[in-house]
Amino acid sequence: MKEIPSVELINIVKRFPKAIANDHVNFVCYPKLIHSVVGENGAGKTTLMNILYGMLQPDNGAIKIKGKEKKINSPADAINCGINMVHQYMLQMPDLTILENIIMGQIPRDGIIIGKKKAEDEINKIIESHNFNLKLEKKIRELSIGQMQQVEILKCLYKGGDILIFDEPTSVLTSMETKRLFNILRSLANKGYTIIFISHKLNEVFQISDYISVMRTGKLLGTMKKEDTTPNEIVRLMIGRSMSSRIVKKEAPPGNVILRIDKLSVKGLHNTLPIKNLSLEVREREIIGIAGVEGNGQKELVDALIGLRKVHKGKIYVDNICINNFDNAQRRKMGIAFIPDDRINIGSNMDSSVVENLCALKLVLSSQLQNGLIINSKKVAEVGWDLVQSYNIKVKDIYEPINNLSGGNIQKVLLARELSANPKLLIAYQATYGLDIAATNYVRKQIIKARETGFGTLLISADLDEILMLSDKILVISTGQIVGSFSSEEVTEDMIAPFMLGLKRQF
Amino acid sequence: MVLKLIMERKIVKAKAFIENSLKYFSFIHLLLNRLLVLIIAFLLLTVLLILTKQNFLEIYYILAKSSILTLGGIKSSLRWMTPLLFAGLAVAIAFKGGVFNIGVEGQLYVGAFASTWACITFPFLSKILLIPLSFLAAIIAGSIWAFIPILLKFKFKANEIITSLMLNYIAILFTEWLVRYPYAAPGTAGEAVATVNIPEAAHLAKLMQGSQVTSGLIIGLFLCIIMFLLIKWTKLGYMINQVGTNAIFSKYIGINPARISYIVMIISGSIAGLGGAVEILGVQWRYITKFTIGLGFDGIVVSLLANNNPLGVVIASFFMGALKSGSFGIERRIGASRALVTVLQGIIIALITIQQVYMYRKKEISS
Repeated sequence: MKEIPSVELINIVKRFPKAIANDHVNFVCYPKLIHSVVGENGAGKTTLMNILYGMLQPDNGAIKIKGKEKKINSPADAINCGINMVHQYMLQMPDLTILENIIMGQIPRDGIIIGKKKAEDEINKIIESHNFNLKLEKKIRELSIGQMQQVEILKCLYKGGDILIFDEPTSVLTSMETKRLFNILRSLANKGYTIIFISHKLNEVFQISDYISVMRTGKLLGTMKKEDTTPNEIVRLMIGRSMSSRIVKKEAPPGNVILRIDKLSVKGLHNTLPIKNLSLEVREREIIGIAGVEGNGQKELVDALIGLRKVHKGKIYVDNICINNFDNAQRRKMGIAFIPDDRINIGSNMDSSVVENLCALKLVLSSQLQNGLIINSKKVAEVGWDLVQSYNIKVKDIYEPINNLSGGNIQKVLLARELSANPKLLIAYQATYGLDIAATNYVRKQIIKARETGFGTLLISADLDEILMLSDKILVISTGQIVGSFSSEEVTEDMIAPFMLGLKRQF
Repeated sequence: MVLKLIMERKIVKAKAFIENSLKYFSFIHLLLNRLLVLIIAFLLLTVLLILTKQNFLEIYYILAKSSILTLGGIKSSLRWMTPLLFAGLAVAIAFKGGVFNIGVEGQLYVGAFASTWACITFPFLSKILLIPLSFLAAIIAGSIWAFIPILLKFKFKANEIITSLMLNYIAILFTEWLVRYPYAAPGTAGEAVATVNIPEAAHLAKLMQGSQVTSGLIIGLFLCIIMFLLIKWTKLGYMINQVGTNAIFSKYIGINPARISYIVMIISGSIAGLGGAVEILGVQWRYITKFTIGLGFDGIVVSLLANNNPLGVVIASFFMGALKSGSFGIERRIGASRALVTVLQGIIIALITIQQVYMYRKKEISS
C-alpha cells in the first residue's frame, strides 16, 4: 500500500505500577478502511486507544498522524489532529436537544449570539450525507440507545475529525441497531474516514473489518487482512498458548458432589439473562474448567455463586444444601473459597496491611484469633508469618501495606488466605490474569495441590491454555449456557474454539 | 544539563525515600501533614487580612492570648474542647465505617434535650442516679436520630449525607418548638426559648476553679481512648475498618456491610447525644434553643483534621476549641469579627479536601 497511513503508533510503551499495559506496540491504519483491535479485557487495547486520544501519555514511543509526528497531551490535542472517540458510555445531557448536545463545548457564534441556525444547517447537511435517522430538535431523553450513539458519532463528525475510534460500540446495542451502526461505519469509511473499532465480539469484528489486530497481555501480536485469517486463528492468538511448563497431575478419583448448580438463571442489566438455565456439578478432587470468550456470563455466574448477585431462577447446592438465600458469611462457612478476577479491588483491601489481608477470613468468621473481645495480636502475627513462609510471599514485614507488594505476591496473599480457611470448594476466576510466568505457575501448582487435598475446584478462565492444563473436565460457556462438555484427555483447542464462538453446540 | 538531570533524579529519589519511611510512622506523618496544612491556612488568612487592611499581628496576638497564652485562655479553650471532642469523635467513627454522618449537630440537639428532659422530669433523684439516667436518655435520643438516615439509606437508597443534614433542621426546630410550648419555663410564654434550670444534683463536677471545664472533658477523653482501642484491637473495629476502606472486599470476606453501617451510626449518634448532655449538664444547666452554635459542624472539621483517628481527635478538638475561644476573644477585645475563624476553618477544609482528591486521583491513575 503506497498511501500515507492516517495513524501510526510506533513502539508505544505504557507501564502501570503493577502491570505493563502496552509493550512496544506498533499499530498502523489507513484511511477508507475499518481497522479492528481485538483482545480480552485488560489486553491493553483501551490503554492504547487512550494514548492515541491523549487521555494517557506513553512512557515511550511516538505517534504519527498522516505522516507527521505529533505530541498528543490531551483529548483537545487529539481533536485538533482530527482524532475523535465515540465512547462506550454516552456522555449526553438528557434534557437538552440533539442540537444543543452537539454544539456543547464548541459553541458557534453569530455576532454575539449563539449561531444556532448556522450550526443547524451544517449538522443537517452531515445528517443527510450519512443517512442518519435524527431530528435535531428532539431531546436526548426521547431517543433510543442506538440513536444516542448516532448523536455521539454526529458530534465527532461536526468537530471535523476524520479518524474515529469506536470503543466497544456494540456492547449496548440490539442486533438491529448494530446492523444500522455497521452500515454507518461502512459509509463513513467509503467517504474517506479512518475507522478504528475496538471489540471482543469476534463475529462482529469479522462482519465489519478490513484489518484485524490482536492484542494480548499488552503486546500487539499481529495485524491481518480479514480475508487471510479465520476466527479460529484469531481466537488462538487472543487466548494464547503461553510457553509455561506442563504441570503433572496425580491420579485422583473424584469423590462426592460438592457443588451442584441446577438450571441457574441470573438477571443482568435491562432485564437480560446473562446466565440461562445453566447446570453443572463439581466433585471432590476434581477441577472443572469453564472455557469461554469473556463476557459470556462468567462474571455473573461467579457473582451468583459467591453471593454478590441474586439468583433469578434455579438452585445452587453446596453439600446438598441449597445456598440460594445464604449471605456471604454463611457461604464462607459452608466452605466456599473464592479467588476473584480483580485482586486489587475485590480480592484484597489495598488500604490494609499484609497481615490484615491474610487473616481477614479467620478474624471475621471465627474467634480463633481472639482473647475474649480483644484480638490476640501475637496469634495474628504467628498466623501471618506462618502463611507468609508457607506460601513464599515476599514481604519485608507483615505489617507493611499490601499496596507495596507486586501483583504476584498480592495473589499469593489471596491464595494463602483462601486456601488456609479449610474450604471444600474453590472457585478460581481468572486466577492468573496479569501475572508473570513464575507467579502464574505458582498459582497453578497451588490449585493442583488443592485438588490433591480434596478440594473441588471450579476454574473459570479466559486463558484456554490454563483450562486445558489444569482441568479434569472442560465445559464451554457461550451466551450464558453450557454448550459443550469435554474430558481433558481427548480435547484440543481446535475442538473447543467453534464452541467458544457459538458456532457449534452439543446440547 | 546532565548535572541538572542527576540533581532532579536525586531529589525524586530522596522524596520517595522520605515518603516510604514516613508510611510506617503514619501518626507522625499525619501530624506533620496537618501542621503544614495549618501553616498554609494561616498564611492564606494573613493575606486575606492584609487585603482587607486589618492589623493581623494584633488579631493573632489576641487570638493566642485568649486561647493558649493565659490561664484564662486555656480554661476557655478546654471548655470549648469538651463538646468538640464528642462531636469530632462522632463524625470520625462514622467516617471510619464509611458513613458520612453530617447530622451530628441534630444528634447533639436531641441528646441535649433528652438529657434535660430526664433531669427536669426526675428532679428528686440523687446525683448518682440522675446523671447516668440523663446520659442514657441522651444516648438513646442521639442514636435514634442517627439511626433514621442509615435506615433510609438501606431501605430506600436515600443518601445519608442529605438525610442526616436535613434531620439537623428538624431536630433544631423541633426542640425549639418543645421549649417554646410544652416545656417552656412555667410563668413565661416561651419567649425565653429555654426550659427551667435542671436540679443542682445533675450538675457535672468542675475540674478547674472559676472555669466551665467539667468532668465532661474526662468522659470525652475516656471515650476517645475506648474508641481507639475498639478500632485497633477488636473484631468489630477490624470489620469497621474493612467496610470503611473497601466495602466490596468486606462483603467478599463475609462481612455484612449494612450491619456494620447500622452499628457505626448508632455508636456515632450515641457519642453525639452524650456530647449534647455533657454541654447541658456541664455548662448550660438548662436547655436553651440554638445552644450549640454549630458545634456539630465543627466536629466535621475536627474529624477531618484528625484524619478520623480517635486519638487525633483529642489534639484536633483542643486546637479547634482554642480557635473558638480565641474567636470570642478577638470579638470582645478588638471588635474583629468572630467569622474570621470560620474563614480559617473553611480554608482548612478546602486544603485537606484538595489534598485528598489529589491523592485519590493519583491512586486511581496508578491502578
